[in-house]
Amino acid sequence: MELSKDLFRKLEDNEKNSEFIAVQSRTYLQDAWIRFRRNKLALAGLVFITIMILGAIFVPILSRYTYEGQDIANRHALPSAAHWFGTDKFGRDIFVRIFYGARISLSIGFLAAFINLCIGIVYGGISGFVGGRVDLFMMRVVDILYSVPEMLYVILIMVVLGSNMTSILIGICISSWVGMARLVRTQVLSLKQQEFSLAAQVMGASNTRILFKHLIVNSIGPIIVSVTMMVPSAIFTEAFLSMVGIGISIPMSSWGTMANEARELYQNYPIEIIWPIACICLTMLSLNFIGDGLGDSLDPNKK
Amino acid sequence: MSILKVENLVTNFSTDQGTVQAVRGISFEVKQQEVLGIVGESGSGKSVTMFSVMGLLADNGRVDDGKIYFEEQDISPSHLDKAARKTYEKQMQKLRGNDIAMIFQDPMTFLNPVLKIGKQLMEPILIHDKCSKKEAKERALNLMNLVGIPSPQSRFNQYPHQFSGGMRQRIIIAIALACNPKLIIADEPTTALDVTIQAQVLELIQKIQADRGSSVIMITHDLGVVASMCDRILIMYGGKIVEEGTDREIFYKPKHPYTIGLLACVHNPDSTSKEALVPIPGSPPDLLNPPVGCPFVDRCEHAMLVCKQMMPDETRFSDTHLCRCWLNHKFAKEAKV
Amino acid sequence: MSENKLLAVNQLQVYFDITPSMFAKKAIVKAVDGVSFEIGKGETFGLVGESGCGKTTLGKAIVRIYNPTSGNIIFDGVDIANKKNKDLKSYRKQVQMVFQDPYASLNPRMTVGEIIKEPMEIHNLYTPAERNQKVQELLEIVGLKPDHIRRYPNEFSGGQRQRIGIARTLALDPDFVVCDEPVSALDVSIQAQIINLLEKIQRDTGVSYLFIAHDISMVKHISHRIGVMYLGKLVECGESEDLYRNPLHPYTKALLSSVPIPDPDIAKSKKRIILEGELPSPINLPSGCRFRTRCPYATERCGESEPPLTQVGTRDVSCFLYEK
Repeated sequence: MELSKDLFRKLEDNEKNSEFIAVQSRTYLQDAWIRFRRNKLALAGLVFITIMILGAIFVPILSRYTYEGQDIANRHALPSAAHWFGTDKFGRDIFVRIFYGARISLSIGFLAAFINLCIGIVYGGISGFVGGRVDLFMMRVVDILYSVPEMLYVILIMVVLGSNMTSILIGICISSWVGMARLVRTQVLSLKQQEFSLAAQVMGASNTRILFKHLIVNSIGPIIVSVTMMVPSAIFTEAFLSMVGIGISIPMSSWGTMANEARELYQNYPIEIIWPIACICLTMLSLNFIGDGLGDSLDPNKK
Repeated sequence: MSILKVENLVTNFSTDQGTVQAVRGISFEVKQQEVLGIVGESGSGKSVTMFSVMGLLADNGRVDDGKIYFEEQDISPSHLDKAARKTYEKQMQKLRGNDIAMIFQDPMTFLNPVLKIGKQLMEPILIHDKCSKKEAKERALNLMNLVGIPSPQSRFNQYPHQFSGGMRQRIIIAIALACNPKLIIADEPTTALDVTIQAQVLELIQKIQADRGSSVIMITHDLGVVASMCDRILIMYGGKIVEEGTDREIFYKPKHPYTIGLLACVHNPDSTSKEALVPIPGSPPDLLNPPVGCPFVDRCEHAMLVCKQMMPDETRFSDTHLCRCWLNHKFAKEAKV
Repeated sequence: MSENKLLAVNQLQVYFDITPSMFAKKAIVKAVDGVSFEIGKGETFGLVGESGCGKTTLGKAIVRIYNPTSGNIIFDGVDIANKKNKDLKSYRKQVQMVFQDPYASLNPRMTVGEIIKEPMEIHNLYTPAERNQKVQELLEIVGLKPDHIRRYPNEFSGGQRQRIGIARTLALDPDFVVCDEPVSALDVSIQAQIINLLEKIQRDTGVSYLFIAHDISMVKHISHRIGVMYLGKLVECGESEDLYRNPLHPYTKALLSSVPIPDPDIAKSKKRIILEGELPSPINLPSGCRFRTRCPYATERCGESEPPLTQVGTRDVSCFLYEK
């Protein structure tokens, strides 16, 4: 470019942009979503879980069969246009049963995670925030709960309340919220000393306000990750119980009961056991991938 | 002869938001036995420059252009193919800690918390000089003595957390000195320390520099530290060097409006006047999207149209003093009249 | 100055029990150990000292983030040192704090508008429309643009964030602000902006400051009076210019001589008093005068008893050297 004298004119103040911010304004979640999208495995997991959820909801529309309807003439059918995944030993449609099973497995997984989340946040939040002796006492209670094996609770509760979804849920939740409570407590303990929460204290904010508006909101990243990881473990517990025969009772189907039924004849009809097991594996894998992806994308240090 | 020479260095970082152009074409050299100060605000590229020289950039950083020579030996990390990169890494491993040493800002993150202090001191000696363990220990103890650590024999087997901040920084300096480096790069070595401890550490660096005749690059934002330590000073702003000169030229005859502004906004406690400080308005440029022209344009009171459109060339005022500012152009002088 | 006194701190002690377990030997950190001073209306009192001297603890005890162990904090005639948190609401409205780290003092999940509005919400001041109006005014005072209210703190530079923090403290029109190292995390060119802003606010509103910092040149610039702390004690206290020109306590002398002066000719010829040794552990304080382990003038007597803070001219010093 040619230099000319009129280029040497003084700039007015409004021609400078001194408080200009170049980065785009994005909220925390927008930012996290952008990073999450880049993780292909996590994205694949999300797609799979979404399909499972949609399938579980819309299965009555998708197929004309019901989960307990038997077609005795058509037992042990291989996958075909009529029965997409084939039929089992009573001639029940496996496709339909898989997605009815998904209803049970996924709702147990998500409900358990949700209940854990609620109890864990309140319990861990209070324990970490109040601190001192209250914290000491609350954490010892947690330690005691944690020291008894989870399966023992579940089996005891199933014996008392019978084999149904509620008792499985109670059994899973009674001990597994402990992990969430511990996580929230650690988060709250460290955030409590951060200057923004001290600032809120100096302003005269109430304890509830500080706890929920400042501390919990900022622990949301690790909390979400831990919730995502909790879903597969609940699903697994349910599948395990049903597999050993003390879970959901027949004719309701869950992936565990289906695997259990197919197990007896797996040498003759291996395809029947592959469906439920593949579903369990893929769901667990997907949720774990999602959890990992969320862990990376919600970590404030990755900014 | 110069010990380090940097020509047209360009370093970029890729981030979520785009490419951050941290260092945008800078050239300078470090002469033998001199203390060179690099002054700039956070984000001016002063630390990135040194990490580029050392080959220690974070994973998302890359030297995209430029030449670096250490004692005439080419150690440029830009435009390397795979094989050349391997030889470069080997070459740098040999240089780091041996000929070039670095003192970091935060002693706690640099020291390994689970290794005894003595072990960490012996490590560079064992790696570079291939001497016996006994000899290495002896040298390590001597170093601890040199940097003023009381009773080094008993301190030798302690862990970093048993040392105070000032003591840890002394250990860092001792590690840096372990192999008699020709060049010491100190990145904000006293920022984390209290003034009385800072005085001790600065005194120590000065003494070592004088005794051993090494060259020192001091990266800092503290003009007081620069004034008491450095022979020559580079002023960096927005990834560019805007002014360069000896300590007296920079402090007494500053030419660039940024340097002038910087000097006006630090309070000299020795002056009696209670006059208000003169701040530089605004914030430093965002290097995601750096200005085409002079990086200081948006905060400069003398800014002209040309400053927005083109980066000024350098103007020489003496053998050592140069400045990049359009105000020195003959048109600007005419416009003023 | 007694008639327009705003805050008086009297023999304040803040101890922390850091005993690791029930069975271990009792370990008490005497972070602040009997400090007294007064601050007048519209005055800035500077507090300097090295890390670990208790200056930040003192500031945090005054805004009641920490509970004092003993002593009084008399604000506007009322002793608030032992009040319960729920009785402090009106005190919390009048006293605010500016924090050291602008990256940690703003909640990262709230927008700038929400952050500045929060104190007004807590104290139920103004209608929502007035609050928005007030946020705009405050942003203008601290030199930010109106459209910044919808942005999040991480999009701002350190200096801009510190200005948001200052806007937040101003939302309640406080009478007294504790500034805990408000500029030490900022760049030099930005520090002056913040200091000037604080001074301008003081001129306009008559607010008083307790200005805590380790950078003596900044403290000297902004403060009317300065107190020097060492290991939980005030060792010297006086008018800022006078104290800088003529320090009396040996620690103050060493501290002032270590300040690097931004002028090469003076800095390179200046004689620094290099203190020997390190700060003693606050759990295991030396007997008598706390500074005696590093003091070049220490005598036997310094180990026997603690020198009281006595008046020497216009100055308060705690050192046996100045005993009559």
